[in-house]
Amino acid sequence: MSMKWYDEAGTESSVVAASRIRLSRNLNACCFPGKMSEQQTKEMTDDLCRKLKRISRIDGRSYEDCRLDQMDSMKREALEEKQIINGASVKDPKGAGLLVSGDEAVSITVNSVDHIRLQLSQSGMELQQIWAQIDKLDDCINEMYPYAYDETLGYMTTYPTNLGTGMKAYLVLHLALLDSVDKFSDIVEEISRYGVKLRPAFGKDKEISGSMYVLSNQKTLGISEQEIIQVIEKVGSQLISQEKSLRRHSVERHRIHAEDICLKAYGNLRYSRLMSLSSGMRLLSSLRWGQEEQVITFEKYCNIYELMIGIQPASLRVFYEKNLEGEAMDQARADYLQRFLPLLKQ
Amino acid sequence: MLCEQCNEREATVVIREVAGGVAKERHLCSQCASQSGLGAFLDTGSPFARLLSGILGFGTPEEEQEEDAAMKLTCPSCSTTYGDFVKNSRFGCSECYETFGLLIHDNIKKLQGSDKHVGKRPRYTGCTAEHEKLVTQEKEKESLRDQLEILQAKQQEAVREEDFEAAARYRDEIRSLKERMKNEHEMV
Ligand SMILES: [Zn+2]
Ligand SMILES: [Zn+2]
Repeated sequence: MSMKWYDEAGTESSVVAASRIRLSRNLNACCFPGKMSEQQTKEMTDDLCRKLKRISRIDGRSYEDCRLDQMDSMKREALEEKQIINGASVKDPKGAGLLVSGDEAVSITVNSVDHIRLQLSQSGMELQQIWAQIDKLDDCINEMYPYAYDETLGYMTTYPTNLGTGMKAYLVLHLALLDSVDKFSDIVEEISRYGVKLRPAFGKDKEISGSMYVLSNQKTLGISEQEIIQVIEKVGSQLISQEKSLRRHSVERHRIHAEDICLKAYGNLRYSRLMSLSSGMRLLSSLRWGQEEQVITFEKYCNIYELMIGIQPASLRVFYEKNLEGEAMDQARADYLQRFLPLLKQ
Repeated sequence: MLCEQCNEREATVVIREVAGGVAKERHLCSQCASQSGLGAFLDTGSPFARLLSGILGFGTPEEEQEEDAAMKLTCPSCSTTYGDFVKNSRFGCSECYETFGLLIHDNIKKLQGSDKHVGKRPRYTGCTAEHEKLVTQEKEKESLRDQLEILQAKQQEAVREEDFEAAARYRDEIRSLKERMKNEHEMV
């Protein structure tokens, strides 16, 4: 299998699993998706899927395209779990297309909510690097297609919530210890004052999120791309340093407890026959921070964020090519973990 | 931004609440807003419009009449009505912004905290002559590149078949095509 973006390590990766930027763009002189005829949509999707591959001249990546509405809904859900497409394209894929780079770092959804939804992901805290790249890709696309843009309101988008820069910046943060302190809800509340938002990364529920959170900007108008990145990095750094100090305290003062938690988590993950999503995520969370802080060491580095995505329902269904439900799902999840969890170093 | 309640639909309603002396802003989608006890204000099915006109259920008959008229306002380009926009909070095309401009301006400011874009500007925004020209040149280059690929394949084929006469002919054709591509490149 080829290298994926998440196989590489990045800055601050003990806490930051991933960085991502998404740009929403519409073409000038055509109605937004949903207001075009079926025929017009089809022609535009075909055209975009064909021509947008030319961005490989800029980034050297290879691109594959497909039609989201011809895809099995299970596969679309799995793409959403990998954060390659968003929920809107899963529920209403009519006329939409998708381009994905071989390393899965770049994905472009066409004719879903907006004509173009371009996103780029990288491991660790790398928003500046991502911006430098996505800015060039955006320019390259704009050379092929003039954009709908207004001097006052910026990039014109289907939803008024994306107006302006049309940009969202995301950090996927592993707040393994911070999210169980009492003041965590105060922190989340406090954060919103900076115009950013922290929400669970998997599902809506904190319980199944494995302490993974997504930090993103709320506003897109009246704030520049650089300012968006700066505020996300500033708030992100605060959260990272708080999480790190908790980990340091735990490793230095309560080492035996830390080892106990991580080893028990490992034992559970390795030897269970049935594994629910919430338990799996909680246990993987312990393993992830344990590995990052050298409380436990595997024979080879284990990408636990990737395992967290792998044990999500649709990903398991796609992996086993079965419409798993209930107990069969929990059994498949336990099996999957035994298959991919490396052995501990003796 | 996604709705704070369901995290599924886009938030299009900003609700300011005062609880315990502290003002709070909540961003909800119209469905969640109407379910969260604010239904009494919003059950006319047009939360966006009501918040816009700032009446939140305290409208006079004249104002309501004006609102009804506003709901029928239609974008000439994509035929989205203001009523559609209020229901789905989706614009149908870039001209919708202009059509509904006055009606939505305040709410965009409330939603985004600003009404003035700063940051990146795209280089190409119109079907300007410049862009058309660029696209045509691009197409021409592409077709020349395609021709070149075909000729090169034919040349290789001829060499494999040991038809050196044909190979030489293709070589000359390739040479003159490359010359043409080079000239056109310099013109750009
Ligand atoms: Zn909602
Ligand atoms: Zn319109």
